[in-house]
Amino acid sequence: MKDPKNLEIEVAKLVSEILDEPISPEASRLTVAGWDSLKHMEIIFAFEEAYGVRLDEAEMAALSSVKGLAKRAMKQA
Amino acid sequence: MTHKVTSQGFFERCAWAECLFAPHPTRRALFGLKPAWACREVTVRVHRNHSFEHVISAAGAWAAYAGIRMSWADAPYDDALSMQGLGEQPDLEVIWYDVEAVQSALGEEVTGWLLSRAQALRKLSNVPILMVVLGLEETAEQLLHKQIGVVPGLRLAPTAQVLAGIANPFDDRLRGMSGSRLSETANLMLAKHIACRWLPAMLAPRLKAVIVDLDQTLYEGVLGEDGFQVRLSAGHAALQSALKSLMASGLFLGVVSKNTREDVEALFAARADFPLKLGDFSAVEIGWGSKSDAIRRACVQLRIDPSAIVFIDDNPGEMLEVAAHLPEVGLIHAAQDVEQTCRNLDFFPGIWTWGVSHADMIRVADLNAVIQRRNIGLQAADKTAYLRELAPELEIWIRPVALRDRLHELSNKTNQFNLSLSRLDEVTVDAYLQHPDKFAVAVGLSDRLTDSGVVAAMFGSIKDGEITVEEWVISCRALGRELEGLIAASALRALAPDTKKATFRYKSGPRNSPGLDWLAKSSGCALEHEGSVSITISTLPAIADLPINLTIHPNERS
Repeated sequence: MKDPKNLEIEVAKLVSEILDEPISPEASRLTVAGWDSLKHMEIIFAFEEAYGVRLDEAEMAALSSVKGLAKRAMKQA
Repeated sequence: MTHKVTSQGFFERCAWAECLFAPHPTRRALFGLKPAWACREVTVRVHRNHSFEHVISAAGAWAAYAGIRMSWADAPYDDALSMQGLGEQPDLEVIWYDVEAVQSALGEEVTGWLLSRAQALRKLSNVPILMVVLGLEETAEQLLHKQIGVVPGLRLAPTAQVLAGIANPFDDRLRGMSGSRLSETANLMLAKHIACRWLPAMLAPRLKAVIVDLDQTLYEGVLGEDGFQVRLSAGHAALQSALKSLMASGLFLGVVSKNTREDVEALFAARADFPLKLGDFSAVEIGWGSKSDAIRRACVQLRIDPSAIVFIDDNPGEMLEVAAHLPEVGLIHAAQDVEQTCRNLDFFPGIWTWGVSHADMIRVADLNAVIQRRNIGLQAADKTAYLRELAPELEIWIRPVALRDRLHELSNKTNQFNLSLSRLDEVTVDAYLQHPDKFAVAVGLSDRLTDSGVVAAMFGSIKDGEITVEEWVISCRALGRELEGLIAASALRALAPDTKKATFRYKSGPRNSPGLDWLAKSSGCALEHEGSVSITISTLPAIADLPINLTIHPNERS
């Protein structure tokens, strides 16, 4: 099983690549201006592809932070 | 398209191609690609009823590979496509529409309604229109495709066909959050088609030739070492078949290889299993000199500019040499994974076409006739004997609406004999065909060797009996037969039999000296950089003086 901290760093890197700006593991839609609804979907697309996850609609809306996404990836693992 | 490759940029583009044309490209990988080369800015306005943002954000990397930087301006979501309040004209209009919203209300009338919306947009905008329609059955899409000719400059993307190749094109989870039912796989697939196929095919003429290396490119192995035992893997067979299909669609094939000619001829003679035969290549340059020089010679044989070719080679050193000396040549590195090379070729910007015309199909055969024609010319006692031997036939169509696409193509692709370099768009060509004071004339040429198809286009206006030729182009496939004056005179006489003089507009460009030389000689005037000169039609050759058959189709407007 992956270390949760490492997973958060990995997810932060993924989010950072989509947003094209540095992102910390603490980041969320509330703290990053560029993480708007359009970018959020692109993060979801990249997240699903990277972790082999298929989120339901409620999860797509709810997973709006690096930590939340990392936790979901951990659950999948 | 702009895809000038510097030596420095070559390796970077190879790395890009590996990512862009991977079997399953990912959004994350695409987002990591930032072009170091200059791209042409293209503004695109989107008229839509579902979101396109996730497609265009992914399309950026593919577009950059094509030398395009897309700048998007979107109209508001509108199921009715009312086209209200449009601002400044972009370079391209896109109708991005999911018919699901109106299918139940319109039923089978949906295709007619879509066409009416494209017609409405055409009244407001002169630029090319790309229609990407989601939710049409393939048969409905084909029906609409047959009807789009009524709107000049409109192209219908084969969306149903593209999505049919995807296991799950739709993803109902996304409707609410992304504003479209397209799955991520479909987003990426459409992005690739838009950026590498549909946009390049709307914004620039198609490439004209694919030139290939032999060893480790068309087959596995080295002819000089392995002899005829070089291996044809399944991937190499697929690549050869793809090249053969491109040839059938009107692209020339050429070979540039460091080998001996005898070995190459013997190899092709011995390997019946090769899908490609040596005779399929319209230019064969075998020797030990530099590849860039060989490519230049091949281009002369093919009568095309190096910017109109793509070159495939397995050797990075050779590719770098070509990039250094011919940066305008498109390059595809023949990877060890041949399927990757096939995918790269399949989506190389400028390769794809909206349709294969009669002119495309006869192009290769027509070039082969050039050598035979030259031999006849050498043996003929004089020009009359030469023409009698060739038995040319001219066909002239006045205002031929049905030939609008070919007239547009001639104006945009012809470089050498193109007097004013107007590069008319389809809407303007249509205006020449339809407006009572304007005219467009198409000229077809055939002889006993080949049918060259429609080879010349004349556009102009007639006012108070005065003819002004605003654009006059003759394809290079018709040059070299000394028929330029006759073609011009026949077109003008067919258009207005009583007219004595015609004024020709001209503009000097980098490659149109053959046309300008003819104009200077025919008018007896020294030409400036740009301007107009008159020609007395009676000084041009007359059809009655020469053994040539002429057929005139007086008014093809309706």
